[in-house]
Amino acid sequence: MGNAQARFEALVRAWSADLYRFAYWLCRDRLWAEDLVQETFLRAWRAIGNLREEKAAKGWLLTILRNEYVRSLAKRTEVYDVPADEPVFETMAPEETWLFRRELLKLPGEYLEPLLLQVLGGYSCEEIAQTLGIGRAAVMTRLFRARQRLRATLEESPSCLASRRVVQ
Amino acid sequence: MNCLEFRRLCLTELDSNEAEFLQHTRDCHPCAEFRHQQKRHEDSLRQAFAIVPPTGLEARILLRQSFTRTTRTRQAVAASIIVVIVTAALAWLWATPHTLEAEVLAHIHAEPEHLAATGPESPVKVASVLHALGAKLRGNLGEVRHAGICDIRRRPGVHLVLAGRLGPVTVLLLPDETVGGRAHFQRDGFQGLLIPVGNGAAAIVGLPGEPLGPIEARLPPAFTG
Repeated sequence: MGNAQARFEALVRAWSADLYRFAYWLCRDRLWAEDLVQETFLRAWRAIGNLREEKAAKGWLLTILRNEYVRSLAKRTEVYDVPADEPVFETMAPEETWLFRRELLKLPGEYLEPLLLQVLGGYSCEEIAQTLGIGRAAVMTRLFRARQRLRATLEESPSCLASRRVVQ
Repeated sequence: MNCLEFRRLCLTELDSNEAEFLQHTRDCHPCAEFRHQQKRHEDSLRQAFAIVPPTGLEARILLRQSFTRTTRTRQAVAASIIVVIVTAALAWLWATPHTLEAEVLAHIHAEPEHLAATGPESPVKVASVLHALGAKLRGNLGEVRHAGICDIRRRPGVHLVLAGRLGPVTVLLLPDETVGGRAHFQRDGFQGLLIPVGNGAAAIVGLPGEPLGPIEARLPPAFTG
């Protein structure tokens, strides 16, 4: 019990923030995100004996969280196309970051989730394909479209005109 | 790899190690610049994703888990207690002698007020109690200080207390018990007889030295059912 407790506490310390971020961008609601993280860690605690290696912890927790998200989606009647809640953003973020966040909040889930898995989860395209149960080509298409949208957002911004001239 | 393929890969796997991708980076200056710019965008993207978790999140997770742990511990303790109780009960049941003589003595000890009864019970009541269980005496039992119907081993039996020479004598008529033959026993400060009565049995228990034979002779020969 003592060892399991210590392992669990280490997992919480190491991954709760990342899981919260992942959860927030999945559901785009602060309270729902915390519920998801709480449920994820409860399930992780009950099954902590199944975690053989600590290096697999992040993937394991993300899988639990995604499953929990899908479960909670089925229970919810509201549709969260529009963000229901603003995340806690740091106030000193650069303009580019703000623009990205605004666009990320509008990005359809099918584009956002592969991006999340790649950027926050550190997954390769093959791993994303496996996780989402789609082909590698579909993953690449979604990633491409997601980033294309983000770039377009920046390119529409007056402060990015200079970089547009350089690239085009 | 042409410029379009290169830029497409920049937007899907910026850190690709494909040889053609790396070669194109070296050969095409505008695409190299595009890649460089995309790297900067990736940093911004990472920063955009990096929202600040609510204060106290870790503490709340650990608190909730501690409740679960406590509940589990309590459940485990409760389960252990139940196991111990059941085990002890089974051990007690297994260890406790269930011979008829032990049950008879246990019954006498459980109802000490009947040993202390002074009576006398009326012949009508005695006859009525005996009749209820299909028993009829062969002779006069003498002074009956208590007559009643009791459960012994969850079966009804007649419980009589007679005035003996040395003290009270208990007679239990047990229509649903059987004994192999006449048996004498002495334990727990009593002496007793177990005797077959028709298809049933009877127990006569008195103080050591009490003559039980005369009482035995007056018991009913059988239960009529």
